Amino acid sequence: MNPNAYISSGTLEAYALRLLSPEEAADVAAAVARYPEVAEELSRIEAGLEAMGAAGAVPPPAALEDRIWDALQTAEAPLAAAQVPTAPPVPTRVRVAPLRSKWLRAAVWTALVGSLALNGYFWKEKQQQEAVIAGTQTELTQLRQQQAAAEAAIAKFRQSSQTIFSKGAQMIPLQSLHGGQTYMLVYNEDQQVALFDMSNMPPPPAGKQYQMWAIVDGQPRSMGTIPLQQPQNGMLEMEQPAQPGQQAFAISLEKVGGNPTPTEVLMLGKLKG
Amino acid sequence: MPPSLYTEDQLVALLRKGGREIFKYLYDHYSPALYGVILPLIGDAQTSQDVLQDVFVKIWKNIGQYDPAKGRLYTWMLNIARNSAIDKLRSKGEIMKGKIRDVDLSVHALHTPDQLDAKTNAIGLKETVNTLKPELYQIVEKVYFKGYTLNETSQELNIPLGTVKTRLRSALQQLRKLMNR
Repeated sequence: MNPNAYISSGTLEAYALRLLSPEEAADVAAAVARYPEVAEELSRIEAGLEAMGAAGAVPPPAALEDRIWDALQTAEAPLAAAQVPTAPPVPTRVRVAPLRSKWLRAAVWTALVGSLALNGYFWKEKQQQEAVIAGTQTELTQLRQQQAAAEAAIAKFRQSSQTIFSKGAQMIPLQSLHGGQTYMLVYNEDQQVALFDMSNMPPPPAGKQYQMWAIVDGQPRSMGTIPLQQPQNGMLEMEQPAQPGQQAFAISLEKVGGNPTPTEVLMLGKLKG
Repeated sequence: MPPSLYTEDQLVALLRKGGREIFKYLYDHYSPALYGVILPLIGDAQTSQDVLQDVFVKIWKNIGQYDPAKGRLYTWMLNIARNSAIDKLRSKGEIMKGKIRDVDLSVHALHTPDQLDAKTNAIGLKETVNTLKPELYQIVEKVYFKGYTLNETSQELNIPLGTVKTRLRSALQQLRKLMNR
């Protein structure tokens, strides 16, 4: 289906409300990944649904927060409970009728002892199998989490490349004012996003934090502090609303939490045109 | 709603680490919207609170499977809330068996005095929905407030499936405009 047909059919709305079958939803997910205009429309639809959620918001009773937190604590530990070994099966008492023959009595005892030994063997076997199953389950959970993390990283990467390789993007070198390394910033004016590659940036000294600035008519305007912890792919995304008259981006070193005006500017990158 | 400290990406990363603090943030920021989705569907406050608890357990346990490429976190959570409430109703056989409440659901659920703000809020949404043309209103009512599937809506209203979808689109577009005013 072409992207416009998707958009006008109402399928995206149904997708956003999770009303489609898994097969239909997979089709839509593919279209969203393929056509930026479909992704944009979905984003608008979701924003609308979020606005409806906000418009209909009802605060639940205050006491519920603690109750739910307690439930989360117990909900998180079902595996631990399953790992407690169960007691070996207790053999039921057998009332043996008086037996005439000594041989017969010996045979019964042998059978009984043999059966008990088998019980023990099977029990041990079962314990081992349960341990194997529990191990496999843990492994599966870990693999699922790894897969989800990898998928999230790919999605993030795709998002970053959409910012870089699309109309309105310009690559701005942030040059050190002290002769240090140059870092790259991509500013996409159409998407109103500034993407900063901080993967090679050294961590700030203790008690300090980097802060980013837009220089507008010669005056710095804070774009916010740069998180102390680097994003997974080293790409920091900052929302950057168009500032009429913006000339440059700058990064300064400030106390943790940032300052209203820059104290020590480290890098400066001028916009083209 | 308290001011947002985190972007959705940051929130997802923090939720994956877990902890009481980020739970509190999640609860403070999202529980009113989630409860506001559940309560009109279920009607009864006690059951709605149980469902809200389930919803937080699901968010907490499944955050590892949330995929930002498939949609936003907030929408993902709203859908968990809607689907949990709908599942609850279906398990009680209240959907498509003629037992659905025909009264105004949002207002019906909100007669406790300590929910005055909440009441105005939910009524606000419902009133906005009420201004839609009847053929759009009935779609939103069935799909959004009563938890009907597209097929059920199509059968119940006796209109083709494709029309249900295009009307759903028109309805949500108009609501978006009305709420942006």
